[in-house]
Amino acid sequence: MEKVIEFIIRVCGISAVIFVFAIFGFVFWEGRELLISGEFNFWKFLFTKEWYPASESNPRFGVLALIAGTASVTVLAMAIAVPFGLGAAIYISEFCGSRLREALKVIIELLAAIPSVVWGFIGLTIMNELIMKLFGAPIGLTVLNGAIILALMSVPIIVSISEDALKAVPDSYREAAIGLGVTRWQMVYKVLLPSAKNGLLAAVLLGIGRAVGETMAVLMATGHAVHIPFDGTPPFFHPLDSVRTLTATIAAELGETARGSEHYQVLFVVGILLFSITFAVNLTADLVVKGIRDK
Amino acid sequence: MVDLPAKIRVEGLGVSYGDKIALKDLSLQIPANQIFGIIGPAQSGKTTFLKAVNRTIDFVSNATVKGRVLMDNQSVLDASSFTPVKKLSNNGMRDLCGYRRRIGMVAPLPVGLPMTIYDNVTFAPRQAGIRKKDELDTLVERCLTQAALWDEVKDRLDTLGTKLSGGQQQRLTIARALSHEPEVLCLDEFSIAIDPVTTMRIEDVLKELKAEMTIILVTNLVQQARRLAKRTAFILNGELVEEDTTKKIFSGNASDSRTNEFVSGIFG
Ligand SMILES: Nc1ncnc2c1ncn2[C@@H]1O[C@H](COP(=O)(O)OP(=O)(O)OP(=O)(O)O)[C@@H](O)[C@H]1O
Ligand SMILES: [Mg+2]
Repeated sequence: MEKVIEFIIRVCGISAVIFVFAIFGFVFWEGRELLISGEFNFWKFLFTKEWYPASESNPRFGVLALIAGTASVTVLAMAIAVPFGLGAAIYISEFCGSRLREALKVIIELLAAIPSVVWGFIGLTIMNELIMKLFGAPIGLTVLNGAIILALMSVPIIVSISEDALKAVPDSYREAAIGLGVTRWQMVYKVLLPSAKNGLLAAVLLGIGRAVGETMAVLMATGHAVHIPFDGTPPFFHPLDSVRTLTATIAAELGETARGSEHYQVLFVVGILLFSITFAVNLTADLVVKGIRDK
Repeated sequence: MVDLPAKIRVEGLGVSYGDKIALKDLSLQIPANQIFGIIGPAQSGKTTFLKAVNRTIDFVSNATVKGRVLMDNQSVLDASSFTPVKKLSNNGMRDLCGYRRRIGMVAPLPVGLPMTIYDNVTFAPRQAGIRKKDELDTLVERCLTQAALWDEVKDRLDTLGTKLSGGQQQRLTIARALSHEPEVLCLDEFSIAIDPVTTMRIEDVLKELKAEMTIILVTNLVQQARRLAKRTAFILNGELVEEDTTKKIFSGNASDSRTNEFVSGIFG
């Protein structure tokens, strides 16, 4: 009996690894012809901004604008989500009473359970109008819109992981600091945050991973225009421009391409790029978390 | 009964954690510039007593207090006008922090805060507003010397406090507790995690320090109270059994038979 259970558990464990490799292999396989054919220029792919994959006469596959779209939405989302998420985690773990803490945690978990299309819908309707009204923008489907939606989506991850990190700091540290006559805020700032910094960093990285990989909500909220929201005129970054992200491009275009066509294959190369980015972010987060345990 | 003026006077102090009563109606006086010993078996409420005296009890969310604590005849904890930390105004918070700075606390297990040795010692003074480098340097040397640690760490003040050995970290905690020049130093079973030689060194330090401050020594080693304390209190199950000169407590004919049994090692 025990042998059987052990075997089943082992199969489950191994299958997780197999799936990851299989997915990577599949994505790579679908894009292989393009990758190995001499025509595909990787630098041109990464560093030009013309994305005309469906052009009959002269198809061009530059993903720079898409990378800029993903990057701008992610960075702005984090600029919103990190202060909110860390602030909420600090408040929940250090300053609020146990009743309120439980209530807040439930609400934040609820936030995490909202499906991403619903977020996209909110972006498409409420946020869209709000941005047009508040900023007088011609269209509200912008970097800002997507970033706010993504921020709301990654706050729960950031809060729950940061809160765990803060909880892992031994109470003796808190007592020692409080006993020295410093205020609670000084204790948080000088003792807790430095002790929990690896966990907090991991929380932020996982939040970034979430934001980079999100598809549906950004597809609906960012306006889907291939455009770089940075230029040489102040303020250099234009959060009220519409953009398109790597994920949204794949989601929107893959259904319309003929299987095996150049366009189809290039979308898989975009997939590989995306996979590499999220893999790097998650790996860094894992290493950082591991760093905490080893300490 | 007490010849010197009392540094701390405790009147009818009671502490409960939720339904659990940890201290019951405890009254005693702690004379200035002496070592005052507190002995008692595990879970008897010794730590709770120190937390009430330095008012870290305010930060225990389920704790409620009764009675009063006075320091230099001024009320520092009064159950009748007690405000929970969360409802405290900014001024109230500042007063509370200011009061806690008058007391140094050394916990049972050494806690090197995750910062350099230098920062460990200068943490409280800096937060209290001392910024001048030379002032802080002097302070670090003075505190570490008082805690008998200076010679061992003077060349590596910028290593992490958490990297020191247990005994060294315990002396670092003592140095830190001295950094804000407290009037009262509370030690909670400070020798629980350190070796006998270090313990003896710290005991010598305490004998010198009592000239400058009042020391409350909670100890699990009754012989340590006997060696150091002028007066000793015996607490059992949250109640003060008796408080008397150390000599009397350890003489074998203390007023309460439970005291005699405890100090002779029959229970506890
Ligand atoms: N935060 C808390 N919540 C609930 N009960 C507590 C709390 N802190 C302490 N107690 C209880 O109060 C009683 C007194 O504890 P206290 O730590 O003061 O005893 P002590 O004499 O210091 O014991 P020890 O020798 O083990 O350190 C114990 O029964 C303990 O379990
Ligand atoms: Mg104790």
